[in-house]
Amino acid sequence: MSEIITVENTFETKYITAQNATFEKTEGGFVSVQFEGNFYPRADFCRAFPLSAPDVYISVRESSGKHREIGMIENLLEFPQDIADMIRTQINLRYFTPKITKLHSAVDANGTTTFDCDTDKGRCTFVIRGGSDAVIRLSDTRIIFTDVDGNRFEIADLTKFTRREQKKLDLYI
Amino acid sequence: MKKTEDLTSKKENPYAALFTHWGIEAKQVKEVCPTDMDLSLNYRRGYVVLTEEGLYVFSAPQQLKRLDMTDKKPQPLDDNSEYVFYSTDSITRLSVESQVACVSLVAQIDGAERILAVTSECNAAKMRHLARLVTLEEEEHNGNFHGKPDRPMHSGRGGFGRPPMDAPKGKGAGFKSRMGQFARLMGFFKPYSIGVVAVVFCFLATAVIGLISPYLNGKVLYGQVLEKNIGTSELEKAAGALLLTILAMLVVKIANSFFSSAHSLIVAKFVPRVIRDIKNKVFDAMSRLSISFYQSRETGTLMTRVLDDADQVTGMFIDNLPALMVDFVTVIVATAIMFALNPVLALAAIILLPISSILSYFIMPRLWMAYGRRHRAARKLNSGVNDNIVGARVVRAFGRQDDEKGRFASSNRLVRDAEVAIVDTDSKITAIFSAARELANMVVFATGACMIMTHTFGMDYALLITFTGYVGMLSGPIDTISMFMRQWVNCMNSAQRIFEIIDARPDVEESENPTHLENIKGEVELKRVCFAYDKGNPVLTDVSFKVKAGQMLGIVGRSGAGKSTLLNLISRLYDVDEGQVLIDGVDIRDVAMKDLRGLVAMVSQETYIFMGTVAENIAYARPDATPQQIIKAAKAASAHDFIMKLPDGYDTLIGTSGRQLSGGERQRLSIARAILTNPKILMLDEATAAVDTETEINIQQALSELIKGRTTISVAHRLSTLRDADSLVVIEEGKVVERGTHRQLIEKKGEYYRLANIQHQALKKRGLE
Repeated sequence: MSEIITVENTFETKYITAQNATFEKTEGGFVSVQFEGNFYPRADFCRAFPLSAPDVYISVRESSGKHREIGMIENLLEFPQDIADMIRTQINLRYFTPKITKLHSAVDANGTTTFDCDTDKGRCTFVIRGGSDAVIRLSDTRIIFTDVDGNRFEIADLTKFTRREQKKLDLYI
Repeated sequence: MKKTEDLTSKKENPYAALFTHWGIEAKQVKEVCPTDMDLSLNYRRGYVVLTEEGLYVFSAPQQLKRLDMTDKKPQPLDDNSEYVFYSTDSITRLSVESQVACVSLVAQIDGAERILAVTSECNAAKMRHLARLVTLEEEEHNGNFHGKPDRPMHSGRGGFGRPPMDAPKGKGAGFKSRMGQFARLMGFFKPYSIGVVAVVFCFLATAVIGLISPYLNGKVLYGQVLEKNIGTSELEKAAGALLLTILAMLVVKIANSFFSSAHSLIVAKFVPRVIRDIKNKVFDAMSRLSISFYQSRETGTLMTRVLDDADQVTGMFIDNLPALMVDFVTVIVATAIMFALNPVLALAAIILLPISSILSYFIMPRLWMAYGRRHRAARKLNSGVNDNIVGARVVRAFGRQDDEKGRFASSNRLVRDAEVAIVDTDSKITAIFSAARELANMVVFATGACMIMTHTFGMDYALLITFTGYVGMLSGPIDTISMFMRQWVNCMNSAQRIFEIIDARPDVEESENPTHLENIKGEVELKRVCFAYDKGNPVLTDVSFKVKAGQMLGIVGRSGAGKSTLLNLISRLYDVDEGQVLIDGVDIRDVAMKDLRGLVAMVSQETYIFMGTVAENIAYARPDATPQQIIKAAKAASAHDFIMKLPDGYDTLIGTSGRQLSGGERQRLSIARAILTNPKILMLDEATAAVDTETEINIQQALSELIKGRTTISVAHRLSTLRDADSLVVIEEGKVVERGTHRQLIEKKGEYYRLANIQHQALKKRGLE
């Protein structure tokens, strides 16, 4: 009755630090990792708490196969600046979310709303569908919009907006 | 590289002609995908152009002034845009990788992976198409891992209007008990007695002021001012009197508005508080109640109770009851005034009122019945819609849409019929009342006119006008009084439901002097335990066993044998009928509830996900857990990997309105939840039933770590799950039929051997296939 299936030990967390691993930028724009005697030509970086604690607990994973976890970074802020920046470029792509800095207009039509705003990535117009799915309220002042295509936009601090902008936004959040 | 696919669509690609400036002819172009970001993630226009020769990645010289995601028209590139060229031969693989909210184009070039372009989700589909043209069988790299977030689905649960109130039963039924309830309900208003008094005062003031109006209009204006002064020479005096009267009328009106506004203000101030108090009280009571209470009642009914009944009761007390008091006062005072002014005319005025009351008394029950019918029909309609939304998958899988439409139409028709009946009866009642009112008016006018003409009973115009004013005031209150009965019944039904919960005694109660357990070893013993959910239908009879501290006991048996019930008893969700459950020799009925809950954790086949993030769900029983502890628990439960696959990781919102998880995922979360509580006694009720074999083995391994140093009681269908158990108990029809270790039981060739054999055969058969 015994089936022979070997499963590797997956419930131990290995912590990766700048000391026990070597990170290197690859030609192709990725990051390679040397850790515990293994070389990974490309590693993916996923945040455990992308919304609430973006810099702590970052899972470093193989980029192919079963995407096994190589290890976890406990706190990115404890890394040397250059390595942290290297890792951050990878993370920024995965969690690409422009921050809205100014709201030009919000126009309703047929149950959708078209926002025209300035973001830290440039000015942008996007459409969200009405209903609660499109708007995630992370706190009283922090909001994430998901547009009809799946793009995300963030309002990092609602109080930084003018009263007029807040009034406009108030209809959707 | 695989041979590229020919473009099947004959249609001209609208983008194809944009690149002639760089020497790429339109007919060379196989596919174009616009991009709107550069590799440093700023908005910038660009294109990825696929030709037979290779891949051109264009990028505009400067950032976009404005990215309009609504505009899908091809935009020409600046002439000084530059491109990077990758020849077809150098690319061994081209794939589109989904990020959380954008996509990247990654190529395997000369053996190394290279990121070529990034674009927003708007162009994601186009980019995937382009990549597919290059490699026919698209291996969407990371396909699973960077999985796109499913849009959170609206689950169909809840939100379908409240289940209708019970149809009002006959009048006066259980009137006495209702008075008792009424008195108890008053208790809720006690802390706000000043507010209640103020409301009643405002109502009464409004009523009294209302009563003055007809007197001013008739007796004073006509009788004192106009009649006496018409034709007299003292114009000044007349004008003065008129002004005075008008002023008085104005003051009355203003006072009237003042009191009614004051009333609204006071009500707005304290009614929400009373509602909150009642809701809190009901919710507290519900949390106190044992699990059996929940299993014998529908969730929907419970929700109605907490949320709607409080509103119903409070509405009754704040609106209907004071209004009724005012109406009573109005009717009595108005009648008294009328009799004082002119008894004969008063008699004529009220003689018809009893008739309308009697008639409505007979018609009213029909109206109630019609309301009841509508409630039942609406309930049927609601549950039909609910079924179709919650069970949308089943309906479609079996192709039952048309039948469902028919079912919906028929219950919809019932609602319509009931609605028509209500309107029908309602208009009859209205007709009777208005007829009575008009008739009364006419009788008063006719009688009054006769009296004036014959100069009898001291009648004059002024008196007649005053009188008609009072007659008008009578009809409204009489309507409300007759309607009041129905609201009263509704309110008392609500009150009854509220008190049923507040008064319900939990089946499982904490002992008065609970023992606080310290330094627990975790030994569990059942001594001759008998238990039945319903009396006379025993689930467990005379069950005894003992698990030594730190050991694992496996419970085996067919479904319905009473395995899960055993666990319910050990965690004291129910109390035993006979016998004892002992932890370290102490009867659990003597153990403080709080100690017990911290001591025992259960992972069951039922998993419940609360609304909140993944992290919050894992830390449900220990909100103070650190992220590190949460991740550790998730890892131990084999949940970490799937959580990291979610775009928002541990921050992903799950539960009713959030992302939907699969059965196995939910199961693993609830295991993580149990692991985090670090219990001394762990109970696993088919903990791995909903996961695949590989995950099960993962979890098994995790559990085998977890159960070290803990007493574990595990119920499982698959006997392989229980291989590591120190001892096994086989239960059949609520009795222990065999006990021993795996080896002993196999050698014994009894029930366990039989079960093991059946499963072995089944596995073998599948293996042969």
